[in-house]
Amino acid sequence: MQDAASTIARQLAQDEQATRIYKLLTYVSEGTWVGDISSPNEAMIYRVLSQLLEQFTDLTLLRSYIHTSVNTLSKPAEYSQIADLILEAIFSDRGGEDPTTTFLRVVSPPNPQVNPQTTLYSTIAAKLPQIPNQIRLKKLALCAARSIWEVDLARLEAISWVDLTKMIHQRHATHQELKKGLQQVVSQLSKPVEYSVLAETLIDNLQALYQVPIVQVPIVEVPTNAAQPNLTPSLTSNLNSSETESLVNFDEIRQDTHFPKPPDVIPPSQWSDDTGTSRVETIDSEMFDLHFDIMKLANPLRLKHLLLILVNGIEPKDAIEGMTLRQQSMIPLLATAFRLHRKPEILGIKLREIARKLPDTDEYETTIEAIMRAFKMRSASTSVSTTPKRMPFDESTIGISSLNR
Amino acid sequence: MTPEHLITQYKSGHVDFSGLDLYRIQLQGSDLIGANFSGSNLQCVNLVLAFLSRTNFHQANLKGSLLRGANFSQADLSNCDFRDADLMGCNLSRSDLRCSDLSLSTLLDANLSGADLRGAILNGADLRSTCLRSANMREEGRGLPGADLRGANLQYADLKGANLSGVNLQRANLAGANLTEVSLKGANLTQAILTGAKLTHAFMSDAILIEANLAGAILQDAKMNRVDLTRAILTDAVLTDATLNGAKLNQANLQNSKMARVRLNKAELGRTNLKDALLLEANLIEAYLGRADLRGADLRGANLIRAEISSALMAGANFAGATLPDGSIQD
Repeated sequence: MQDAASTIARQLAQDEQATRIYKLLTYVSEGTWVGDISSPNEAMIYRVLSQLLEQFTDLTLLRSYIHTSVNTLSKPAEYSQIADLILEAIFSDRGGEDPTTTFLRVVSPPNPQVNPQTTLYSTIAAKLPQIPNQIRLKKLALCAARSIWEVDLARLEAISWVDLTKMIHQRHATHQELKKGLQQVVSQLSKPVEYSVLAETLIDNLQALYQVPIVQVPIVEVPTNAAQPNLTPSLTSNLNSSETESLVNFDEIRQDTHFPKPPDVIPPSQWSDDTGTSRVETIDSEMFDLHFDIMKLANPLRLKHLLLILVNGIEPKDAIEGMTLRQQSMIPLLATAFRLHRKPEILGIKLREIARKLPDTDEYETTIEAIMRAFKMRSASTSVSTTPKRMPFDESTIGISSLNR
Repeated sequence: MTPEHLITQYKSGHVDFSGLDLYRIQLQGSDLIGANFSGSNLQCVNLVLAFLSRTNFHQANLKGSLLRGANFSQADLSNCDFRDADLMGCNLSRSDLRCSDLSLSTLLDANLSGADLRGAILNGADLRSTCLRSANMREEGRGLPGADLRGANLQYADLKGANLSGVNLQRANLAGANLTEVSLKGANLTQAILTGAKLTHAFMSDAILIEANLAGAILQDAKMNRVDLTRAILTDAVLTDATLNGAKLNQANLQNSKMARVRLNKAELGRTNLKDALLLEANLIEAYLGRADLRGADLRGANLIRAEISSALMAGANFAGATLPDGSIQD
């Protein structure tokens, strides 16, 4: 294998496109993009080529992988030709088939000798350098992998995405675990807004580690009856620890963490839940109308006192002066109150009981009247249409109105 | 002046308390309707649950004051200093708050419906569950800037029909807010959080939403021409019948979004994630979809005339009945 790589490397090193050949080979084998390189020598090409050939003993799979990687570049047309040059050299050395077919439709099952995990890491890592904000992304990934917040750019650049992908996979056994880990990291940063976007991007890109079959991404069109490779990585299998430790000497990386202050912009409620959408409670539009109706006559502060006691059952003193007054906002409280108390008459009795325990009892009467009137109106209108409205294409994701649950 | 003296004077018909030093005065629950406190120093005063409708506080200093539950309806509160003031549960409906400084103030649950907030500074203010229906915060051409809401918390705020044209909402939190029929023309919403927000019929043309999070937002029939949504998150968003002609959506994430009949003519969708998006009968004339991810997307009946889709990922996409870039119709 080494002899073959040596012959091919010599041939490629002599090509006038040697620089691009080296860049592409490094990209597909290591997942990193080499920026400044003028004339790579045979040894350099040999190193990355032999890595690649070790990973792919099946040439069909190799061809597919190289072209997929090319498609992730900003100049896919130019690098497609470079890919052909590489493949031509490899295939001619093997005396194999025509390598110029650039658009694969069927992929043969992988050779059992291929290490699926390594290939998976390379496939995923190949995409990550294309994401904007590379430095921040890498900082975040490293923190997810090793709980180290590295600010030294040179050190960050020295860590390859393949290594980071491996380490993250080793540390987080499930995608959910990874998601939680990243959320925790972001929540401690001084710029949680910026990093939350990157965290989500990272989570999306690493999803394949946990569920997507390895060569699903490369294939543009696969006939339904085509044989599908079964290369789903085992969640429990780990790489050789010495192998990963040798990739980067983490002892050299500063252990100081830069978590300057607690989150002040995004509260935890802003974080994504399992479905990728916000955790904010879905409030029906009608709740805003109900609120607006009440506010025409009610004092907002007195309304809040009443609702806090009604919904949370807290002591009147706490409702007026306690932290809950600040912690909870009106709209979700109102939505809960409306869900729990559909009969305005009974609600009125309860609210007047609450008001009797509060100072300035009489001052609450106007607010109670406003609540009852608005609830009565809204209950009447919702009882007419008891089934949720469904519109074509869109309502399925909006969620059923809380009024109709 | 003592609180008792002030109340006595007011009850005897005296309403002019302008230009006075009333620092830390305790007037909670007082009835001072129609009084004039313009230019007065009311720093750290206590006016909890006071009746202050139609009062004049023009250029008054109310910094750090405790104003919970006070009724300021139709009051003149222009050019006031409300920094760090506690206005929780206040009634500020139809009040004049032009050019007031409300930065870092607490306006939680306040009623600001119909208030004039042009030129007001609200950065970092807590505006959760506020009612801002028909409030005016727009940028005026004649030197009056739009309200400054940078980093403000407007979670569950009700802004239905409010005018927010040209307003600065950078990094503001509008999660779950009601923005139905709102005008956000030219507003800056860079990195704003709009998860689950309701933006039905909103007018958002020329707005900047770079890296904004609109996951699960409802943007049905919204007018969003030339809007900049670069790298924005719109996963599971509903954009049915929305108009986004000439919009920038490069690298945006629209996975699983609902965009039936959306108008995206001449839109920039380079590297946009449109996986599993519903683009039924969508208009994508001359749209740029270079390296866009359309895998699993439903483009039945879509119009893609002169659109650039050659480098897009399209495995599993459904183009049945769609008009392709060359004008042919897919079977």
